[in-house]
Amino acid sequence: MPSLRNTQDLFLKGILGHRSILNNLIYPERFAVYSDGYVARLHRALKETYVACENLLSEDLFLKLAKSYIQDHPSNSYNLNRYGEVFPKFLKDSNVTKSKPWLTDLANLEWLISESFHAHVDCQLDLPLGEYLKVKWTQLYLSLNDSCVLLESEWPVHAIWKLAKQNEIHQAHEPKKIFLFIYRIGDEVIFNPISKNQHAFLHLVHMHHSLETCLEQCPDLNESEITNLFQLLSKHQLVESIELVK
Amino acid sequence: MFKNVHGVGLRPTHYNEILKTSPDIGWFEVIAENYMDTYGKPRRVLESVRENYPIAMHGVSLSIGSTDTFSKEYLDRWKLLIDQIDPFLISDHLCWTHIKNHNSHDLLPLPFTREAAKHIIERIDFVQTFLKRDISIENISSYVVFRHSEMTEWEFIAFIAKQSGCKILLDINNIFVNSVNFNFDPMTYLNNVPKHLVSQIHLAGHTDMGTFLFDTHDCHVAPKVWDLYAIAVDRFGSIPTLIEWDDQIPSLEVLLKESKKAKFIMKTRLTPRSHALAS
Ligand SMILES: [Fe+2]
Repeated sequence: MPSLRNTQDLFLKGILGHRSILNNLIYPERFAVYSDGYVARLHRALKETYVACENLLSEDLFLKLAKSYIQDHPSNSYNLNRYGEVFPKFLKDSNVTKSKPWLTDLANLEWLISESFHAHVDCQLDLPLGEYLKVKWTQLYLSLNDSCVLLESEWPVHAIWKLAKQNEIHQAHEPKKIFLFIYRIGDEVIFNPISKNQHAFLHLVHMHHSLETCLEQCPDLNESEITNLFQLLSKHQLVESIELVK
Repeated sequence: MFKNVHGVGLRPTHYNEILKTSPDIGWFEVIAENYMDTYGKPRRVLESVRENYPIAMHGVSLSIGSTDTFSKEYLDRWKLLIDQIDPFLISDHLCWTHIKNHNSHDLLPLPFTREAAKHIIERIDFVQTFLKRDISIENISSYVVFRHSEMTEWEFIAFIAKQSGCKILLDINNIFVNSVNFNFDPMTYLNNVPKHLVSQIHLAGHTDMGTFLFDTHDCHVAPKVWDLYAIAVDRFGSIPTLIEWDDQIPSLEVLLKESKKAKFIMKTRLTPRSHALAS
């Protein structure tokens, strides 16, 4: 009699396409319920995350790509929302990005939107910036909440995303360097185009440098860019903690 | 414990309506994995619903029958969610979902062997000790059976529940689906489930695929499943009963009507006079 371990091993291999398990089964003709179901579930998970990519590629092509991705990338988390993390990289390595060079960044954006949507926003600080900005910035460290992420692209992916979500498909786009600040307000994920300097500054904040170091390393950041950025952080309560190191 | 032992699943399509209207329903069941890792809208809705309703927490990825070790991350997150939400019941399925770093996200069947039963009893003990709570295990729908099974499904689940001290979440639709798929009498199944171990009942719709029934959860409960539910109520009494509807999800109104039907059947069967008239 096969052991439980052996049975499960064969069953899994069966789902992945090697069918020796069928000899151990009564009603082996129904095994497709499990093997087809496996692909269908992972395909659905990819569809839910990469909505704009699917619209751009067409359902059939997306399914073909998804099947190929699923074959090489098993789901190793209990959480289906986590499936598809390296799908953007997979697209990058595929042929489809030759005619749609913006596709990888679009997929990156969709993954970041999904991450931001589920992120833990621990506490929302009313940022008493007036008070804090009086102290020396060498001593000041900000932590943004986990919904905050940054994206840099050679393509206007935020605009492409909006069009593709509405099923407005354009085959060609003009390249345009953009920097996006992505965050969640309540239940909604927002992405705000920011300047290159603001992007560099937020990146350094993310890396837990003191505000002074962030500023030093962004010499071109002007005062209005700083003010706008801090107003945004303050208005949407995106700062999770402020550390004052004396 | 409840004014109304009938509940429905909490699903995103109904979030706004539930928050706005506080519908007349006894409780909600949530899929644990959909709330473990998210702190966005789903979690906020759950916390808000919990203020007004009891919650049953139903898992799909515990993989109690797997020969892999448990995921520590999974158990920790599940425990955290349980501690935060304080559900009246926690459950998962008598199945396995993953081995060797492959998660199928499906409820895969087990061979009904003594080895599997022993293995699962040990794992239930581990989980119950870890969570410091009883769990309920649910019978699943299946499409294949293993040639080397040594007992029937009902013997397998009853043996495991008795030996491990866990409870049984009895899915009446799954019993019916399997009875057709594997050609047994569903009454034999019901009659062999220990009365005192049933903690919850599931009802759902299935689809006839021609050569077998498929547990799709995408339609109304079938008439023969309602009949079986009535008999289950006779046997097990006033047990919390859930309508599961996970695909092609209808309006909240339709879902609540389905639950009212279950409520009506239970009331009819448990009222001695009307029961006598009905039979
Ligand atoms: Fe069920």
